[in-house]
Amino acid sequence: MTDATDPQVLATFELTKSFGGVRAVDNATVAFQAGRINAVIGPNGSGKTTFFNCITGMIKPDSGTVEYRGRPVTGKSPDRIASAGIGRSFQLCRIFPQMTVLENVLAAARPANIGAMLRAPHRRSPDVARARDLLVRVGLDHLENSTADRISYGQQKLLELAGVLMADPETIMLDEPAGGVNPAVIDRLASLILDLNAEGRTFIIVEHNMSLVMSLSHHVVVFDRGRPIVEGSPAMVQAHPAVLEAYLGV
Amino acid sequence: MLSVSRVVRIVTLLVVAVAVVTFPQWAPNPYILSAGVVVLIYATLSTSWNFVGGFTGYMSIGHAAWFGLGAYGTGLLIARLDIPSFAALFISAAIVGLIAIPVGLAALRVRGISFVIVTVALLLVLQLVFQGLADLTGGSQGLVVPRPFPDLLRPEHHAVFFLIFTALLAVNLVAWWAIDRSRFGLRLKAIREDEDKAQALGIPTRAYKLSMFVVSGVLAALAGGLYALWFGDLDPIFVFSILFSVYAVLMALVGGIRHLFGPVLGAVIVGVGAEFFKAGFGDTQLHLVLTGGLLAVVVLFMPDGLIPAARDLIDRFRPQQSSIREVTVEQLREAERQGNAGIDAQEVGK
Amino acid sequence: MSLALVLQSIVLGLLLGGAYALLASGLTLYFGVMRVIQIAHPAFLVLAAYLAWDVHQKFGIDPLLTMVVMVPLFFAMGFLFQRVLISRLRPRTLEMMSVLLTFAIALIIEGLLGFVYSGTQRRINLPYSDASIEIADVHIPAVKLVSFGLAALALVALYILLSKTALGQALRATIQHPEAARLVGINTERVAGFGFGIGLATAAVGGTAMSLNATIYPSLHWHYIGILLAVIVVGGLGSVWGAAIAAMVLGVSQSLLQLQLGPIWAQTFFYVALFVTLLVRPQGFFGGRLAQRF
Repeated sequence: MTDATDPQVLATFELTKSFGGVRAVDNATVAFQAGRINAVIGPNGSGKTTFFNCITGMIKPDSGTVEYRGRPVTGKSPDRIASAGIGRSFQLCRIFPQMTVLENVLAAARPANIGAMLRAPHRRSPDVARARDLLVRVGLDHLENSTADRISYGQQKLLELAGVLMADPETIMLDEPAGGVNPAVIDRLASLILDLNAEGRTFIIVEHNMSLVMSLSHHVVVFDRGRPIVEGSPAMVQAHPAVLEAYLGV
Repeated sequence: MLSVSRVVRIVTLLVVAVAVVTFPQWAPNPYILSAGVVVLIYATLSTSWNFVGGFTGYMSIGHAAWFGLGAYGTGLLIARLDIPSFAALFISAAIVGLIAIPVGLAALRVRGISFVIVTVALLLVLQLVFQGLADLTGGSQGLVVPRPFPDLLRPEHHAVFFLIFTALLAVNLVAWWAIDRSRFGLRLKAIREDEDKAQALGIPTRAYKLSMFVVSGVLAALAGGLYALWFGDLDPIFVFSILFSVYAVLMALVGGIRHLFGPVLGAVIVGVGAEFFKAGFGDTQLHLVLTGGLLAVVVLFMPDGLIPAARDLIDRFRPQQSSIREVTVEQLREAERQGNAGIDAQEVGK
Repeated sequence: MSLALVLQSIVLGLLLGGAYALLASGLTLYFGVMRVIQIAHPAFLVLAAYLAWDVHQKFGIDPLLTMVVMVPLFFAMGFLFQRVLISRLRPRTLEMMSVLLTFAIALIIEGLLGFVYSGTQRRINLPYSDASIEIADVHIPAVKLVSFGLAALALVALYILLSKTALGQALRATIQHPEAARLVGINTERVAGFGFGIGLATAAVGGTAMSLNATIYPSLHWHYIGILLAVIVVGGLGSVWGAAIAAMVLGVSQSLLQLQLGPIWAQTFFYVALFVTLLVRPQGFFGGRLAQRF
């Protein structure tokens, strides 16, 4: 479906971030190509989440740059990066616990104009209709009036994805989407990711579930000690000796 | 079912509104009437505080800074520049709005505790500045503000200001209500629940917070300006008072910061209580102990306020599916721990 | 303005800064162990000063001796305060609610002091109250030296406690990384209680020092809240030594500015320093790694 000639959508150049004396991300230069499902894997503590946080503006990198669609976004605030077209989920899924499921999704939509902003969300407004469609898509439409902290963790993960989609991002970064959820939800997430990718959205996924990574992704980047050590097709990465070394610490 | 409760709500609201507006007619004496004005001032200040506290979860304990600036702005414009009373009121509120922008930008850069520190520091520094600028403000000697209606007798003066404050409170409430139900309000509340998440979803959190900070400041400045016109005498220690700010927070918490009428309810309970206490026991230091005690009890045992607590209580006696929605998982766990059989734990999704 | 006057101001500013440093160390400890700003700290200080004054009034005992009882008493109060009250707050809203709760405690203390001792200003008259030392035209009241000495001793004791003892190690571990501390078997809840205990113990020492050289009244604690907030912000929230340096710098600056501007405007300097710090360098100027999270 995609090939290596696709333009790169997101690139980091010598990205570095230290906490105290520890270099969580160390000179990471990585390019992700448009239209692909990219996976970022690596042992615990290899800096994947910090790498995500630096890209999405949650953390300011010490040095290095991030480019999105050829424009520098380094150090911009998370909301500006989100508005530029990058949506993200969090490792420990984050939703708005006291809001209803529908409100959670709706909160992510930027109202078209000031008038819409200041009006109450109307049942027949296009945004509400779209939020409902997204809930149908992730299979939570029957829960739209439940308070979000009362649905299961797996459902919260799906809800978080629906919220991310509501902002209509071209690039979606998921931090461990399959972490802590049951196989049925993982299957649902996997087929959603494939469908959304088929619609043209780029994915960058941090994930520990290797069978999911190998079956979904087109391109895999392996992180170790804060920098990419190997990247390539899933099959190539799987067979690479350096990857085994990083994981097993041989 | 829904429409019945809605009718009940509207009728209650109308009855209360009529009772409040006619209060000057049926208040037994001018003293009670002036106490009514004081309670209204509290209610207005607390509701204006709730634009920031309730929607974004940022709790300022220096809210009286805006009240004081509005009061002094109005007073100085009248006393020093001879500007007509009500023009001075609005000019001063506009100036406060302009001041609130840079202050808000600075204060909202920081979260949680640092925000609290900034708000307290702002209040304390204003107190010092207005004492220090004694040539202009009269310092601790006070600033006398000419009355807007010099011909009115004292009871009539109270009655007029009671109605004006009622109107200002109504403006506060309508604005809060409109924001609360809007998409804007929904996104503001997202900030309260999880600011990082809200920002990651593309909500420009800083601009949102700043807008509420300014609205909250301007509404408090209007209350302060009216206070200056009503009371006619300003003292920095009194208008820039931390205790006054904390009253605003306490009242909002007592009623419930997530509810439109929470701060008003709190103001009525705490304000009336305070007035009664003063009347019964005089001006002893014990009122500080009581205020502190009440604040501690609310923070420790009832942080969501009376309105949700009362709703829980009612729901407990009404075993319906819908009742379950009003309680959070946290409350359910608490109930389970206490062996309360009234709530079915199986209803919880996890 | 004579050179002697300037020198005198510098010396007095340093002595004042020592007192601020001790005060701020307590606040820094609370913030370290629980991420809580303890608004009631100066109120406890005033409480300690009143108790010292009362004991002196009734039995003629020097406040320096009363301290032997006061320090353990305040330690126990601090421990209970954390275990019984602060630990009850929900973690999600701890930051905001703890400010309000400690504010409530401050109001209760102020109200009770006013009720029991009335609002009258009080001062202890000791044999050495009016003594002063003179070096090269610089007059230093003896009581100010004594209270600076107390503050310095308390800070040194605190330093030894934090760096040399097992409890100190547990405290530092809890301050730096609560989760890791729990993993290595430190009961962080209890340690937080001890942190509050030590914090209030410093208030007992500070209160004693205050009773020696200042006139006290129930609402005096308001005077210190702003100063303390400025000190810990400029120093960097959570850094004991940062706060101590900031206290000295601000104390001397206040003392010098007072020469030109008078007491009211000299005080506004604290708030200017606070605002500038938050704008320019929110993590503080002297250390304070913790504050980067804010």
